[in-house]
Amino acid sequence: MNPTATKVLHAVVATSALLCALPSLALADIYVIVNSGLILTTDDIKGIYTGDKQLAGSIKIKPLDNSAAKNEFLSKVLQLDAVRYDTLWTKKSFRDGISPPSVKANDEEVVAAVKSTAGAIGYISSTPPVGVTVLKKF
Amino acid sequence: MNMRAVAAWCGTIGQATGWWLLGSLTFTGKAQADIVEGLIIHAFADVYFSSTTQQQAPSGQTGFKLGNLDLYIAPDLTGRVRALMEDVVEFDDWVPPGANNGQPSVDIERLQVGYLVSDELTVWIGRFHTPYGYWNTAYHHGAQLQPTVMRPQFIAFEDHGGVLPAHMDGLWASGHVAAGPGRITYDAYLGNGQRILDGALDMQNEGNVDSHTALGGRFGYEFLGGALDSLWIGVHAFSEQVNDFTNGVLTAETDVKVAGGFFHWTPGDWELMGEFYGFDNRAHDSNAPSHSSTTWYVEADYTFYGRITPLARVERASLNQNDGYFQYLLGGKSYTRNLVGVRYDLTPQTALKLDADHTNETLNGAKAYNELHFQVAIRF
Repeated sequence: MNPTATKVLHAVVATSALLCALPSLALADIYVIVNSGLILTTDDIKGIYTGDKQLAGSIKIKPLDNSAAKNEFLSKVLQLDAVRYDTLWTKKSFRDGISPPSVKANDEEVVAAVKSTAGAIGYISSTPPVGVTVLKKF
Repeated sequence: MNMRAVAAWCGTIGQATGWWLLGSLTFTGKAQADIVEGLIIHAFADVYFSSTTQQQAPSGQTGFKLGNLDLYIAPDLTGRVRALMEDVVEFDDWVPPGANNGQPSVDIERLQVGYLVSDELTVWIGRFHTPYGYWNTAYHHGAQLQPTVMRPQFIAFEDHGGVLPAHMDGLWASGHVAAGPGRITYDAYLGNGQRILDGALDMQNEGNVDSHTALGGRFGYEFLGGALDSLWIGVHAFSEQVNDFTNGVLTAETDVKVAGGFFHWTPGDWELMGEFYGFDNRAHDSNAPSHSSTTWYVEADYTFYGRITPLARVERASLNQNDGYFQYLLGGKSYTRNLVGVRYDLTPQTALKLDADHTNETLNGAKAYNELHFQVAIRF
């Protein structure tokens, strides 16, 4: 094999390896999950996490933040960074008296809270267990 | 430092310590058991240095100053009931000459209970920030939030020389409705009419003694997405009868009518805002002609690297001195003010701000002066 062909082969192999590795480099999947009694559309998610939507019919929505998956959620779903998100809620709370989402530490806590709390909505980065309603996967 | 000043400092520190302990206990309780889920105490605080060339300035002389210690609570009550409480420890200035004794005071800034009727409507009762323009409800005592050290003078607080009622005791309906590429926003309110007590607007927290009702509203449109994303434009208006009492004596009765508009826009790293108010006031029960006055400001800032924000603001107030309303308000004087400044966000919760302004009050026989303010403002 001549040198040029060798270089081309190496480039093809390297590019293929990089493409195969890309999925693992990407941000983790985010699953938005809701309590079984909560009827929402995917269009509601942003409004809920920015304080503009607080009710689903007669049910008061109780959003939850997940410290372990917050950055991925903000980036993928709200297109915000943590500083802007926290500032948004500071202003919302100060101006409108709306409390920011309760904070849970990880996926397990969010799943438990969503299952047991009427009106709860949260997000996790692991595959949702059986019995949890998935609103959307990002 | 004389004993009175020492007492003032001790009083402020004592009250601040009390609030801090209350906050600490609350957070401790939440950490140990989730008994107070949803109870969050937030605060704004600021200290600053001011320099002025104005002699006998109603807002104080050159030196270091304590700003506000503002604590607010928005508990997550069950059901659709909401509440918002805000207390401020501050030093009153803009009181009649010679009456400023340097004593701190505690003001209940807001005490409002609301009911979430729907996502489009919340009804409140209590004392709230009067919804007009942008600044009054967006920043108010949140010094860390506002771009500059000082509010525009004409929308300063009632006891700081403002000529508009920054607070209202009454009923307030507020909400928004999706429409087109954005949403319609609205506020409508009625409350106790204001009166002027020795030069400052008083919102009559203990009842509507004068039996005058204030009526007002703010209606706007906020673009969400597209080229005009974040632009909020609107109009506002209110009316009420305001009586002036000087040394306890009724000296003027004025029907106050105000109408105007506002905008706020944050395209990219820019922030642009402005407010306009037109007054058409008339002596109550009089056939005399009404008096027209106008006030406005426009402000622009641009943020570099997410934390350095140079800014500029122009303020104008042309207030008719034959109007019984402005005649008796300490801050009811025409002026022009040009301000430049820079804000540096040391952390997301800490802002360092430097403002310099030139103010001209010569229209009313006063004088021109320059001011410089440096402020450290935090929130937590």
